[in-house]
Amino acid sequence: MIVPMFKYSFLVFHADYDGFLEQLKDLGVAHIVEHQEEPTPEMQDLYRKISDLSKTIKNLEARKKNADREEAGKITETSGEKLNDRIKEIESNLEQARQHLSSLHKEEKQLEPWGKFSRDNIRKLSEAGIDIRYLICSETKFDSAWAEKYPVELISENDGYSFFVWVADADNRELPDEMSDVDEITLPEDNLEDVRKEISSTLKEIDSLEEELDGVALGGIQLLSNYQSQLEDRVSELNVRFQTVEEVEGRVRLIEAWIPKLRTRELEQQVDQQDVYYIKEPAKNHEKPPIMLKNNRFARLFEPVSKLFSLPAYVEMDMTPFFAPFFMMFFGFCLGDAGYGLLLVLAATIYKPKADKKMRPILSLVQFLGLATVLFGVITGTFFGMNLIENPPAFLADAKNMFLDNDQMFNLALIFGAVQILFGMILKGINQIIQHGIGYSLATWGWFTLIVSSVIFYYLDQQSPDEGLFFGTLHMGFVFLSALGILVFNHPKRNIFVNIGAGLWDTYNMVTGVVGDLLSYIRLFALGLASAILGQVFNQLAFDMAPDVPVVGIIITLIILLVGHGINIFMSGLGSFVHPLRLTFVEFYKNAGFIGGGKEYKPFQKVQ
Amino acid sequence: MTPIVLAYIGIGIMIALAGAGSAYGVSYGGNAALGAMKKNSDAFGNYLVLSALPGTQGLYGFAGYFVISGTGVLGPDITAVQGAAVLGAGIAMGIVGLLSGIRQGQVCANGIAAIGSGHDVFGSTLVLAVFPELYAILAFAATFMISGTL
Repeated sequence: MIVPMFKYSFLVFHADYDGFLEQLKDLGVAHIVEHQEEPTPEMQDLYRKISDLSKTIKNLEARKKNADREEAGKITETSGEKLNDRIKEIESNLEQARQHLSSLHKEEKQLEPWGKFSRDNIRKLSEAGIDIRYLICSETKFDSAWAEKYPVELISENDGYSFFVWVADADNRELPDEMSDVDEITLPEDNLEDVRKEISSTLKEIDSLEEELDGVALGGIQLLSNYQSQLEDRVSELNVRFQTVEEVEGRVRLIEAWIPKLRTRELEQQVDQQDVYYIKEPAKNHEKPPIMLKNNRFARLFEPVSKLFSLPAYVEMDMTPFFAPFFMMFFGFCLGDAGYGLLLVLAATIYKPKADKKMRPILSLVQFLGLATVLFGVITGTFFGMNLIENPPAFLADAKNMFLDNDQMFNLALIFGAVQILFGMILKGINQIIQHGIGYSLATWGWFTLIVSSVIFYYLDQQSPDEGLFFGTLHMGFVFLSALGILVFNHPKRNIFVNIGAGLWDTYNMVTGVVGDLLSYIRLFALGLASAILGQVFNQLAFDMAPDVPVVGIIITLIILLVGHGINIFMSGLGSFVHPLRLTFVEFYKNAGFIGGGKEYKPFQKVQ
Repeated sequence: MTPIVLAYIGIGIMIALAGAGSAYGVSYGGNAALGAMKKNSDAFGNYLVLSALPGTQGLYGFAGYFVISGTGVLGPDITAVQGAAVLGAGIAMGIVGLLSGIRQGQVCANGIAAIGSGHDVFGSTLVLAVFPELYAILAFAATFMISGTL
């Protein structure tokens, strides 16, 4: 059921405004009417910060798993904001240090082949006019005769390269021709030893920064979460202020909010104690009030399923309690194995006490779906892929005839489809009466009467063919009445010829639509069959493929059974969820005339 | 061509093409999921479910074979009509499974990419993705009905 909404327009004196906002936030029932769509730059900035914080917290949580518990120190910050700033500082320092480290490594690699030598001496030599030139060439090209011919000394050979120096005076810069494949390089300014010392000190710096981050990960995540909640709180308050309109030169502020009927008394009790003037109006559909659903315990479990598609529009009925039993039945039909159903129920029941509050409704849903699966497994005689119709165990031999075989399941799927489509039509008729008036629903009742009466008379005709009931007088009476509803009286305010034309168009749509929709329900049968067959196949594989070796054979059989039935539960379970979902959202909603497009009720409240 | 050869050609086409369709379909989904993980790695559960959806065509092909072999006609005594029926069922299931699996995988891949970009389209993708699958289901139902006449 959709909770009725009331629109309150509050007029607050500007001095009382802040206190009033606090009160609204404490009550947490007002869904603020938003006139302005674009957030202010300040709000956008806050949104960015909040999303950055989410990323930071996620990174810290990943770090927490790998952090070394003993070594990490404690954090000293008490404010989430300062902690966040410090984290950013550490991260940027780490980045710098790592870059520095990588350039140091490059230098080290360049200096390494030349070994240790004194830069001072080289400088003194060059002041005296003697240059040392550093030359590299590939080992194969290096000619050891060069050492005699030229002022060249081989320093080292490494990695397929020869590193040698040429002692030259400042004037002669040309290398001889036979050294055309030789490259000259300039070495970095520092000593190899100094570079190595700096590498180790940078590594220490990186280590200590990482340790500090580990400490933050171990102890500071809660602080950051609190800070994030503070920011979220602030942005929601900023939004309310942003949506408030200033009247009378800023002395009076106007806030509009939606309050659900259940909470209006609470709000009015609080607000009446203050000097706030308000106007209360019931919601009108064109204003698009937010949607708050209220359902009984069973249907409430199916609300997340309903939200996967769309919340209803304010004027129509909430479809959740209506599709819930069908969805459960269809899931059971498609998965249809008593063993799998039992597993689902057991797993959900065992996990439920340990799960946190948000998961519990979902686990209850799983329990119900499991029960439906057990039911259909019993009906079709399927237990963990074993087909009990063909091979009944001793105690079930008498019950064999009660199991439904494939042809009966095919018909059952179509019957379920027909029931859901007809039920949808009834809902559509009721919706039309509520929204527009009984005159607009006559076409729907016409179709309903036509289909139901035709089906009933067809079956009566099968029972007693001689009486000619199908297309007999009584039947034609119903058909005539239906035709009146469909073709003539389908719209109270239109010309009768327009009505007939529209009725013929409607007839074409209905005939093709309903037949197609009905056939769509065959998928229930097909999915049920496929999952049962897969289970059988895995059973066969497990018992046929196991070798005759005593212990190993049993183990292999068990493994194949586990893996196979696991795959089947996953794939068939997925299909059993998705296909009834589609049947609900497409076939059922279409025949029930569902409009949708409602937005969710999100009141202004403290961030939890 | 003896009837048994025709029948097994049909079976081969059924399993091979339907399985290939699923293989292509789930691969499209898997590729899209890996790309979407780079942008939004929290929704992996959604990506997994959507990638797995095109997997059913291969199952139908296999289940179709099982249903036909369950009738016991796949032996040397198969008549010409039965062989033709199995061939027909195999071609139907195989081709529909192949093409619907590929196209369903493409729909799922687009849905996954949209979720990765931050749009809240999981439910809508689920619904849209099963539209092509209806035809594979019809082909499977037809195979089943053909097997009923064997």
